[in-house]
Amino acid sequence: MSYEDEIQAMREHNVEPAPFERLAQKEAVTPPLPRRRMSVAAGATVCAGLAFMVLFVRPAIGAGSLYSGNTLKLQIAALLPVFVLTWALRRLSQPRLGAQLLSRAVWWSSLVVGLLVSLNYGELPDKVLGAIIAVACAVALLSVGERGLEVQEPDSPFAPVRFRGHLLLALVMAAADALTLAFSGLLQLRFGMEGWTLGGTLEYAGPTIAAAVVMAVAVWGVYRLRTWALFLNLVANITIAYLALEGTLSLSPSVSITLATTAAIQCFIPVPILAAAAGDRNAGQPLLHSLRHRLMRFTVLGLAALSVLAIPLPGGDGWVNGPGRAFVRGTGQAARSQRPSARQRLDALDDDLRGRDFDHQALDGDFSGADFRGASLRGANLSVTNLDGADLRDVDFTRADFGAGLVLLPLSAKGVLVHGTDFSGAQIGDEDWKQLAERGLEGVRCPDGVLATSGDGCDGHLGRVERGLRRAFTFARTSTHGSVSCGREESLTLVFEQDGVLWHRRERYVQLADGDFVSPYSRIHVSDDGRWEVSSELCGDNILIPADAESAEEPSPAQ
Amino acid sequence: MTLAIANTHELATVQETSLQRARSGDSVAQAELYREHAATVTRRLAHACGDEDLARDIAQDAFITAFGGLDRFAERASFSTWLHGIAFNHLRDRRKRGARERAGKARLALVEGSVEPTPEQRVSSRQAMERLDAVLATLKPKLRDAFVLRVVEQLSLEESAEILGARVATVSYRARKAEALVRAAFDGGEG
Repeated sequence: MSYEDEIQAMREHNVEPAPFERLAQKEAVTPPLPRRRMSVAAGATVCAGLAFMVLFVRPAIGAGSLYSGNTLKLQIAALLPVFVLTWALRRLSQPRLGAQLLSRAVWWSSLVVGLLVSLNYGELPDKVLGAIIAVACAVALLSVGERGLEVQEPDSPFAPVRFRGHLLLALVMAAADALTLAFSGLLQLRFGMEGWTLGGTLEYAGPTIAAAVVMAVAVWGVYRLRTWALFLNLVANITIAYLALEGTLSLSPSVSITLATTAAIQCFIPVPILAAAAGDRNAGQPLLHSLRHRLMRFTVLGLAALSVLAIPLPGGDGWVNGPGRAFVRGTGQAARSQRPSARQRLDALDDDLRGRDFDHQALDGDFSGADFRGASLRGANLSVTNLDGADLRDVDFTRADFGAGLVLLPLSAKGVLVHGTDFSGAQIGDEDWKQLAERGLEGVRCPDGVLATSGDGCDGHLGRVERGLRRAFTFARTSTHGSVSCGREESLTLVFEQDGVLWHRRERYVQLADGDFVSPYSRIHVSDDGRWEVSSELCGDNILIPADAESAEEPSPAQ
Repeated sequence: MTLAIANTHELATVQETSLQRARSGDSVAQAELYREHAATVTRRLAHACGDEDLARDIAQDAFITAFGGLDRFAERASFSTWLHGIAFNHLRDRRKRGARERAGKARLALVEGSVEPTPEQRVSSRQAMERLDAVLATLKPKLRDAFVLRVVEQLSLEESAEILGARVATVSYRARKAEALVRAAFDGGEG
């Protein structure tokens, strides 16, 4: 036959379609899920998603700023559960195995995250939200049970003839782990994005994110029943358990132990399957259905109950470890009488805060034993901080405020290590300085900018001014910064000295060795012709025009 | 189906299409749509994949998907074009899965065998167009799909492009290239 003849034959060739009744039979392979139970699960999913959403917006409404004593900084990480719960809600009613499996994984992961939030964060609202999430996900899991997982899809790559229960369990647990790891990784990334280099951020969050990706790949492969995926799942779980316990994942002990426990459980699931694949015909008895069902219910109920019981307990050890711990951990529930009324505490006992950027932040709380090496605390306020035993080597305290002159606000800094520490322009009182100098001042830059001498330390270099120094002046021009007015209108104002400290209104200055005066916010340079020039990051430069000093009365620094 | 709606002044008749009734889950209307389009879809799929059993199976999947998603059918194109688009999407999925499985990757021995027959089996089931089928089996799937829709089924470029989810120019190029290859194979065989 010629080309044209064969084309024509193909055009005329009729293919009998399958009868319509077979279409209905094929559809019946995937039975609809019980509507009432689906409604309960959908409601619980919405509830959990909303609770995560509140955790996300809470920092935005003032509860999550380091300045105001942050208690929980889930922020962008909290959007991941919101996203996957929304996805689960959309796919919940679909009688597709993939959708049903991933919905279970989303609920399991959110249940674990909710439990850990209620266990590990100090503030009551966060604990309650964590418990709501855990209970809602438990309700969703219990209401659907194993319905939908029995679906046998003719076109699904997941069509095992044996070990279906094992494989489903492995898939759900691995997917849940991948989500939990991704949540933790996002949390670490969120921290790293604030003032870290890309390399530092990836070094911190990279292992956790990599673990999440590996688990996701394993889930993808196991769903397609690949042998390599089962091996990958086994190896990944062993590795994750090791890394979590060893500390490479930089997660808090409770989160690490949780991940290690689930990883250890998962290590045993594929063993009989791999044995069967290797030729052992007797390997692995099917998991007893009723026993598995009861165990699942018991576990879900237990975890949900634990999340509720954890509400009145004091805060735990937070979510992450390492440099980000102070940033995202809970503060613990201090006794009400101990709480400062306006300034909340941020505790980070023994934390690793190396290289962290705390510039211009108020560190009120217990940082005893913390490792601050190389950290930047330029212009930071440490007036009610406990630094006992902290390692402050190579820390930049330029223009930091240690509460000099305000004796009612105690700084505790006994036994700190200060080598290479820069105190240029720092506001430090005599008593506080004694504490800081207790273990020697070798290599320290004194408040006036001069390197400490081996004999006298910083004696005579604390940036004090001569008694009686007083200067009245007017600003040459009004200065604003964006919409923020610096409040320095053209008016008579006064710089004065009291108890060895130079003041301008409520700003205190330290005199550097070159004669300039610095405060956390501005620097005053006295030029040769007697003009005072003040420069400020916030307000730009100003020329101070000397006025009649005798005409101004000396105000009180407390005004 | 014709519905009679009466009021005090007039008797109006409303022509409700099978499509509209199928949207509301009417199984009779779905059966009407199935009978109307199943033969064409199955035939075109059979030409595209070279296996009539597989074509029937994919056509069924396409109808299940289409009936489940009728709410999303915006009627920008005809129902037939939309349905064929779904069918060829399913065909592409099957090909991908088949290619993965044939790639020799270790697959668990616990899995039921692939439902997709070998190319040899497909060819033997269509003795009537034995030579053309054999030549088409050597074409890349994208070229084969374009050839089937444009040359064998003589659909317009626009409709073929809509079904295959590709640009008109792309489909035109694929169809011309495929036709040239098939003609060359025939000419070579005859020579």
